[in-house]
Amino acid sequence: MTHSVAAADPAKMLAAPPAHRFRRPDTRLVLGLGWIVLLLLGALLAPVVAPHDPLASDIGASLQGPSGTYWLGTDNLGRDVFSRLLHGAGSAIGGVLVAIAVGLALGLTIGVVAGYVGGWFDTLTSRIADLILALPGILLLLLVLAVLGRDLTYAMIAYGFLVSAAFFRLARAGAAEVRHELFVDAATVAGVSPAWTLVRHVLPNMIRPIVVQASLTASTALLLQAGLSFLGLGAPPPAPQWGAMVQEASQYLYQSPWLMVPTGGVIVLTALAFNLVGDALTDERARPVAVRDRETVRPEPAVPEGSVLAATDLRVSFGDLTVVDGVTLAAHPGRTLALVGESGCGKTLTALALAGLLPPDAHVDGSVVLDGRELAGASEKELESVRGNGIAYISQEPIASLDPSYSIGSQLREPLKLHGSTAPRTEAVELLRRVGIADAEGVARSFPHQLSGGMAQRVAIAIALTGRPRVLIADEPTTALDVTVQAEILDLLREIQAQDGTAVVLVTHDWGVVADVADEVAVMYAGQVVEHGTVAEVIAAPRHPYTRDLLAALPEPGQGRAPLPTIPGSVPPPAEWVPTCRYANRCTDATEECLLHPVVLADRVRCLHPVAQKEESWQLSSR
Amino acid sequence: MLRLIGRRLVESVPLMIVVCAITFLLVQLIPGSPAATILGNQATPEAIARLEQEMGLDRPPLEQLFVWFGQVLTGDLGNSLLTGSDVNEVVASRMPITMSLAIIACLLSAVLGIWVGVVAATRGGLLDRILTTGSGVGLALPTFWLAVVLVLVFSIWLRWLPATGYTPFLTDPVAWLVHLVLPLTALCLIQVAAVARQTRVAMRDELDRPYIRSLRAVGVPRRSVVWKHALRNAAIPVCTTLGLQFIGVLGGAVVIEQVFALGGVGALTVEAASAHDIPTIQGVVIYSTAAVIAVNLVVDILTYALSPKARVS
Repeated sequence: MTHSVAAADPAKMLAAPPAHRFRRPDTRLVLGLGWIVLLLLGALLAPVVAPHDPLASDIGASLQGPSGTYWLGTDNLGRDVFSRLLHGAGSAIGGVLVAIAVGLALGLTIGVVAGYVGGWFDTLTSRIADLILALPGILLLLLVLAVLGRDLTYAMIAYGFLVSAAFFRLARAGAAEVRHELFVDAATVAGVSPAWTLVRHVLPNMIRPIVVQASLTASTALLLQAGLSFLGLGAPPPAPQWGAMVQEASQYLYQSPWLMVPTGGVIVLTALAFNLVGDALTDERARPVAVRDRETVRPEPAVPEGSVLAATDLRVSFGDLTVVDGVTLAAHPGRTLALVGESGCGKTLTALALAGLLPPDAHVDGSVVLDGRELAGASEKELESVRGNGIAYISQEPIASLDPSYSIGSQLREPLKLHGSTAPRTEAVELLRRVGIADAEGVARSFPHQLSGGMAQRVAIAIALTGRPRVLIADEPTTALDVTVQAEILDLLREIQAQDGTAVVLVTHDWGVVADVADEVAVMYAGQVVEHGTVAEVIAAPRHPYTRDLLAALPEPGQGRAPLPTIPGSVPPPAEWVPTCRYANRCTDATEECLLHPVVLADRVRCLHPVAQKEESWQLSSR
Repeated sequence: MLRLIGRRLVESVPLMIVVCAITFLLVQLIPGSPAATILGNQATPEAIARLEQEMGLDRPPLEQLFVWFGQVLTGDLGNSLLTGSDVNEVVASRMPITMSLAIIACLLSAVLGIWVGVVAATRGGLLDRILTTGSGVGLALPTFWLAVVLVLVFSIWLRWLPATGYTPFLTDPVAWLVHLVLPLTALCLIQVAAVARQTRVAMRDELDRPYIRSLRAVGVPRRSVVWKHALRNAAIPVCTTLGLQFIGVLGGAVVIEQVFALGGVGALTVEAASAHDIPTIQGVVIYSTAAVIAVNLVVDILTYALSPKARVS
């Protein structure tokens, strides 16, 4: 299951390592929890393990440094610092627990109810939570202490009340989101009581953010409590309290600066431990995998005659995972090359590799030659000089590919100036007209969120044209658009190509688009090109069984209610790519031989049993 | 723009009412009599009754609430129980110190924090790890401890800077600055860490967005991609947390003023809390809430200027 998810979206694959790989527990989590457990044990066992009585003073031994008898030294009254810290741990952790307990109890219950019930109760409680978060907290705590007297428990209860607003927000958001999810509806329909639904389905979804918030609350509560104690608002003097101990230490700065170390240190370490736990749980981002250079014999780049962009044996890998595996292709001026295949075949990564736009942790092997310049392994500076005027890139998300904070005009003028325009303002408007925008001045003044998808894609194309690129790489440029708009954008690309003689590399999964605009096509499967040729050849007589099955899976008009044909199974994830034929386990023509021998691309097809040409063309024409 | 300011001001009315109500209710809700707490263990019942009458605590709670709101509305926050002087005057005389501390600390930590956050987010590798770990440790440092350590190092050992005291800006600007260096450092270090972490996360988010790739694709240089485009967008979420940061700085000032003997509002609150001077603390809370509202208004205006979405809708 996780495999097909990872394979479905290469972008997700980059973000997270495959789930089946063993993950070492986060060091931060181990260190943080370790210290907290140690401290808890110390607090509970303080009467037994503390080497000295925390209150017993020995004036003769005052303000000593660490020694065998006094591990962390002594204070001004000759009391053992280590024992006092151990005895103080109880009240420090106790206060933290009180704050968290109050915050959780109030915030979670009210939040879950507000999120689940909605309506006026939700509105009212959310408003109150906003108000509480805007209060100057520590001053209110001082007011509480002034009214209730010196006891930090009151302050921590009050702090719990203040942070309950943060827990409320989390719980409310979680409950509201889950409420709209189908399985809760299903459970309600099935007659399960709402309360049970909340406990069974809503709470588990919120555990992680709540634990993160609790660990951050623990850290701030600890620092706050120590601060109040430092100000002399905690328990009266002889009692060992961490904050007050720093205060006492600060009185003897001249005589014994050492005292600041253990007293502050224990507070820092404990707060750090809570933060580390929170950080470890927040950071779901994959830790970078070490990039390993593999020994490959780089084939002499054979740049096809007349091509403007040629990739030879292009390989892209993330750590041990190879996601593009030996792709060779060429784009010619004035012609369109389509890269076709199911999701997870490496089409987009191939396109990004051609433009040198892969994420920094990607490793590229092989060669990409643009107009005689080698781009693979070029520095970011060299690539910057090529991008825009050599290669331009259009993405599949038109609105998201524009910077939301700048006007369209400004986003056109910046690259125009870079590419040496002397009148960027007028040129920007001209470019917008050229991509078919009638109200070019108006659009230049507007912001991305004010545009429709089709309009945004026209703008994105205009931006891509600012440097008059020789090669235009378009990654599913019409997938996110309405059908009528799709045709317009394709027409626009064709028009630009006709006028400028641009080479276009078009990534798509849509054979209709391929038939419509492409001259040549490369079919990709599991990181490899399995078949390539002119569009006419490939569509009329596919030679690879995968191409044949893809074409057969196209819905055709006049099929009535017949079930849509599909290719059973899915593209294997990169971790499962084999040196032999990767399509074999889905292929109806596969033999034992296919599982034994590696297959090379020969005569435009990577297959041991290519589809017989005559038979296939006969089948197609008979339809 | 004016409509935004007007709307925010109207929206802040409930906050002020809630704060006034809370400061009132806290005094009401405590078990036993505030007068008894104020006078301590040795107080005679007669003395407690006299103080209750003086504070109006013997009247019905609802009447007290209305009286309290009436007083707040007319700007009468009562008299300090400690010195007998008008709370308004006491707070006003202490405000300049705390405000110079808080505002400079906010600006300084915003600039430094954003810079550190951007560098951490874009450079990656060892530098990122050092900055991230550093800011993690920074967040765990108790302000008061840090303040004392700074005094130890810079005032006692190195003798570079004065440990305590304050000179008004108009009297001697140089002395003013010299006296504020250590308190500001102690206040800022933690805030820089907080802002840096937020900026780093926001920048990482922005740098992953498709428009960044589109900008790079047309050859926009890295410096412009990071500082002009990504940061502009990352600044919006960072900006909204500046209000919270101001609250944090106000809290920090309470402790800092104590350590550096700066007689600001923070020190005033601590004195008042130790002496159970409730009217003074109530006044401080109300004034600080007003300051927080003002800062949030500035934040809203900043967000409005930064985000075209907010401007158009």
